Amino acid sequence: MPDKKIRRRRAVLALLVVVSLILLTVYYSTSDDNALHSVQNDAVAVLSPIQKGASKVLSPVRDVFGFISSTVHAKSQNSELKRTNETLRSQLDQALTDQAQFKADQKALKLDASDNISNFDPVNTTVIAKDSSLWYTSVEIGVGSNEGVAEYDPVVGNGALIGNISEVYGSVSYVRLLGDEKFAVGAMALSNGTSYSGIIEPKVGNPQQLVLTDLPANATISSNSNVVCSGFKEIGDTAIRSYCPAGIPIGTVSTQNTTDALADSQQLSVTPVADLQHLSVVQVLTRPQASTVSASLP
Amino acid sequence: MTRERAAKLTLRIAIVAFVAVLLQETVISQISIFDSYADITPLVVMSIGLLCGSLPGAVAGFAIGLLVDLAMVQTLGITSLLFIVIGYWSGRLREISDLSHGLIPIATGAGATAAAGIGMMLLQFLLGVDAPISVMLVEQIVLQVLINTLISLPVYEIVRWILYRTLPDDSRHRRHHSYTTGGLSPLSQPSQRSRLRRTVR
Repeated sequence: MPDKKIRRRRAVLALLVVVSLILLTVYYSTSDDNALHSVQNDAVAVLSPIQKGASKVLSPVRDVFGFISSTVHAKSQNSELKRTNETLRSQLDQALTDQAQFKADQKALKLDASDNISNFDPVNTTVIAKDSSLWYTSVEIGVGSNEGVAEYDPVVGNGALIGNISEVYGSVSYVRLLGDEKFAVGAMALSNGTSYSGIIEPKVGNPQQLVLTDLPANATISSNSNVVCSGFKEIGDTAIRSYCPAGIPIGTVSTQNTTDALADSQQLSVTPVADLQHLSVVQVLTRPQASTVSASLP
Repeated sequence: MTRERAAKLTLRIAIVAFVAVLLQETVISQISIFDSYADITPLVVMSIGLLCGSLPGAVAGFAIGLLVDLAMVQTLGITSLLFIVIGYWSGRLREISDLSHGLIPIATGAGATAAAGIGMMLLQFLLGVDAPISVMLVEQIVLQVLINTLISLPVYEIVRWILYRTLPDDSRHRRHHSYTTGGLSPLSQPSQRSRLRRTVR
């Protein structure tokens, strides 16, 4: 190969690498409103209608493969779910008793709060694109600011919290899933009729597990206890800017020896309820603080 | 290679790149296989490199990486950097060795996927992101390499079929002329062997 051709090839290669490094450095080191971000926003504005259209057109293909995948997945989970079902049945009896007591207390206090999702103006939508890399835990959904979606709105799927809105555009938005390192929300563990508040965060080292931190060291939380949104956000902590209505399920405590874990680190591992890998239909709660009506004490 | 053919090749590579990214983000990434999924983007970059050479491979890698980063609102340049390396080395492989063996795309596909997974892990680590680097993610990378290895040959053949008429001559006829580049000798081909035997007599 002539020297000139080799030199040209090396020059182009070096140029491409340098451009990539410049893009990486500028994007990573500057604020959210720099020129690169606006270019990316423009690109999303152009690409999102195409992605939305392609997602609709190709949904039958996705559904066929999804059905096969779900069937295999379901078969493998069958025996495990049967065991869980037995445990849950006994927990349900206890929960129904607690609920009856709770409603009675609510009436007594004239406290008008509800965890019914329909109160928070949910907007139903489908996942139109998913991040391919194993490192970014986000999905793109088919609703945006035109439908009233705003940044940090909580998103639920499979009957539980799956994340919050990270970026909003006219007709699409991006959801930061529970496993994303920037995700954090106020949560509480419900155990033996008592709630223990903390902060739910992704577990470093395992994106499919969460950690409920900042728990009291003397808390008595049993394994498999339910973890739900606490309905408040930490005013002093800028990392927790999302608000999730109280009572929305998040997961169950998966730490076996909870007493030791709480004494050592004041935190417990939590397995999310929602299957983050098989999301198709989700709901964005566009008015998450709708039912935070103050109590009127007698 | 004429200028007209080069323009056609560029156009076809652009279409392949765009469709591949679109398919990956809207369909393939949502099909879970053993809690992992296929990623055709490094395979497409690898195929373009193998078919067109190191320079087109690197340029296509840069463009596809940039498109992935733009479409999913990720850190710009991170995927481009990885895909440049994949495209360039796939092209170099074509230039320095004989690719007449049909299983080359499978091995290269596995290598490209592993490079993308491990490269992303290293870049995240260097960028200081509090990324979950764990045994589980290593498992995910291995699973993705296995899945991509299975689909690398079909992906390569589809890309080859789309680009075929616009490819440089040596790529189109490489298999037919493999002997000139050190491939099958006439002695290993039954028809040629009998002809040679007759000649000797």
